[in-house]
Amino acid sequence: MSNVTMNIATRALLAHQASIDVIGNNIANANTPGYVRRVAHLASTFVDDVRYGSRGTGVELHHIERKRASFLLGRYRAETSATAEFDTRQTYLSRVETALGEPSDTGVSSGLDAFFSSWSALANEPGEIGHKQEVVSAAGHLSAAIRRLHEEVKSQIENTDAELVHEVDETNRLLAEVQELNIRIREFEVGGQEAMGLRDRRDMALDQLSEKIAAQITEDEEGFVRIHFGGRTLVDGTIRRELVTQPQVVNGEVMNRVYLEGDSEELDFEGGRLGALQDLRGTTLPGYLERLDAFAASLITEVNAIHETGLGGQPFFTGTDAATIDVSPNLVDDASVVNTGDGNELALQMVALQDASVAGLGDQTFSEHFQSTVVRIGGDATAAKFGLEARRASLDQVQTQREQIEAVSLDEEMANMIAAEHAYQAAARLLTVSSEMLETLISIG
Amino acid sequence: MTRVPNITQHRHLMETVQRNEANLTRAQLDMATGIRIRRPSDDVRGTAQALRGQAGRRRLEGLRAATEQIGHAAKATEAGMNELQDLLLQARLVATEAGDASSDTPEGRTALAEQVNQLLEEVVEVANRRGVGPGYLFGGNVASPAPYFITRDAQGDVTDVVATAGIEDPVTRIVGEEATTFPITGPGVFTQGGDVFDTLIDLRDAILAGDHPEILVAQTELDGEETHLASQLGRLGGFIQRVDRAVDNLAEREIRYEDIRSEAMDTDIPATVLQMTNAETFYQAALQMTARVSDLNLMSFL
Repeated sequence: MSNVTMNIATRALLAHQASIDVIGNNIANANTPGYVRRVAHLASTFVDDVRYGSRGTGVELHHIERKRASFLLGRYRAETSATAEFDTRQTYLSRVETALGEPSDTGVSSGLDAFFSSWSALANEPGEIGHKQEVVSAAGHLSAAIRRLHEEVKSQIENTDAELVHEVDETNRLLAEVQELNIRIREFEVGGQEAMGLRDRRDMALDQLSEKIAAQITEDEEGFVRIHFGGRTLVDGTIRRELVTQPQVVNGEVMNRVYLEGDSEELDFEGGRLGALQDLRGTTLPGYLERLDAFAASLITEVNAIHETGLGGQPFFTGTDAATIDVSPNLVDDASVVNTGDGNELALQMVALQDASVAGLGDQTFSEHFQSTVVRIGGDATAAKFGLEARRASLDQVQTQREQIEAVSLDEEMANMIAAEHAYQAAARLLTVSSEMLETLISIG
Repeated sequence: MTRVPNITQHRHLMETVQRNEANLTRAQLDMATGIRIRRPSDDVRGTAQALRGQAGRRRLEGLRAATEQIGHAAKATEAGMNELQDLLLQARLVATEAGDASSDTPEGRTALAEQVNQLLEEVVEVANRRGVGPGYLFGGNVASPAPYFITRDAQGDVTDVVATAGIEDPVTRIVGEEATTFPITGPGVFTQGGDVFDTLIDLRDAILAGDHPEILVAQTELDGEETHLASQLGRLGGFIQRVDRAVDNLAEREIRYEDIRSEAMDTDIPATVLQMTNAETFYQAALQMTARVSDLNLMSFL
């Protein structure tokens, strides 16, 4: 009888020791990113006794559960993709806004006003060389501001392209990691045990991957993860296809296109960081450049059309777009050749140009057109900002739900530890009592 | 029962602290800079309004500066014409004195002719006077040469004054938001109501020759020229008043545009002080709560 009691006590000691080990591991990983808490499940042991029926023999560690919130993962990763997309958009649009420098007294809009004001002064004193110098100087500031803004937006396009290449590399690294973990998990789990640590790492890699692309992720019964994207398979168990970038020249600029290896059709990312970068680089930022180019081209055309009129007429601006607009070097060298026309006729036309509807700008004035460009950029940045806030709130909600299931609560672990410790102490006491009982029996003899 | 894992608690605490810190920083920046829109996405509608206000104000500033320029030029022209009026009056007094037979001696005639000659020189100086800008008061759009070419005899006396071609053309200038014809031209002042130069040359010569009928003719012509000049001064006076009104009007509208810009863009100080106080309180509360909650855990009681 005493042997049975001692065995019960021994099993209990081992089971509660295992519980404390699991709790200890949870406590150690309370702040480890991607760690999913474990729960030790104990089960009573018993034997079927012919005389007494089923008889309890103690407790044992039945299994360790990894508390994974499987049903939340899809939503969590979708929200992660959307948040990363808005975050990327907001980052780049915020940079464009900084470059824009509006509303202020130093940007393009103020340069434009100063340019036309200088013509007003010249119109009222057409012979004044000081006013001509002012016109040239104001035009120089305006064209420099336009070029600077063009350069800034263009540099953001180049940055998106460089980041796109970097993110493709990162995506490939994560895909490779998932593929490798698929293999290792499969190898480990053949024996029937769950590869918890490896699964934590794979889930974390998949979480990171969902920042890059909005992919469909599924897991089969064998434990293999499949990653699909846009009707294509990126990872299927142990098979993986890489994303590849190929530089192509578009409008004189080198842009990297992304393909799936072996495919000839360019990938169209929707969502995720790659989706945002692709859209910013291909649509949003070039759209701003187009507007800026249209603005500069119309300014050059309209001002030159007036300035070239009559005797001594010559182009006022050189260049064709926002990248190349500049004041004619002849005027910079000698401001006296600024053409005011017969008397001040041309200067008056320049002043009138400020309020004129320009066909090349959709019948807007120069000022209206630039203002609408600023408002458009601001509107896009605001949409990205609000989108990011909304997505972050949703992500926070689902992340909180996920953490409620997966993450470690130290208070809970402490309470569990006390319970396990007490159970362990009780089992130890049982062992002592059992031992004393045995000693009593031996002393009788 | 809801579990609150430590990582969630920490994340939420940090988010709260950071959000409140960001709110406080923004309120501080609004107060320090005096503006609440630093980039379009701070308030897109406000940005559109601020840009409209700014552009409107700057456009009017430019037009006002140009209008003030033309106001200065008009006042300088008026001063020149007033001076001319005085000179013509003096010339008429000399003509009256020369017409008096009691002073008809060779010495007296020479002295009076010399007075007229000096007046003529002054009139020529006014006619070729430079304006406040680079051009001449009566040169219109002709910046060079001077509006009147002077011919002199061997003694250096003026014998003929000829207008430079082009100075008779009407001059258009910006007044307010309009291109307006400047009401005064050199010929309008010096020759249209009778040729002032010829009249003074004829008067001088007639006095020297003792030609009383010619002196009388010159006197009559001076009367007409004075009358004409007075009417020109009246026109210019009306123009100057218009310029002054335009300047006032532009300045008034600039303020309205500035109001539009300011309403959209500038910090609402009382509201921001309130925001800052709130943000400060919330930030402090968030920090205190973070400190308190961090200390509360089961380990502390074990």
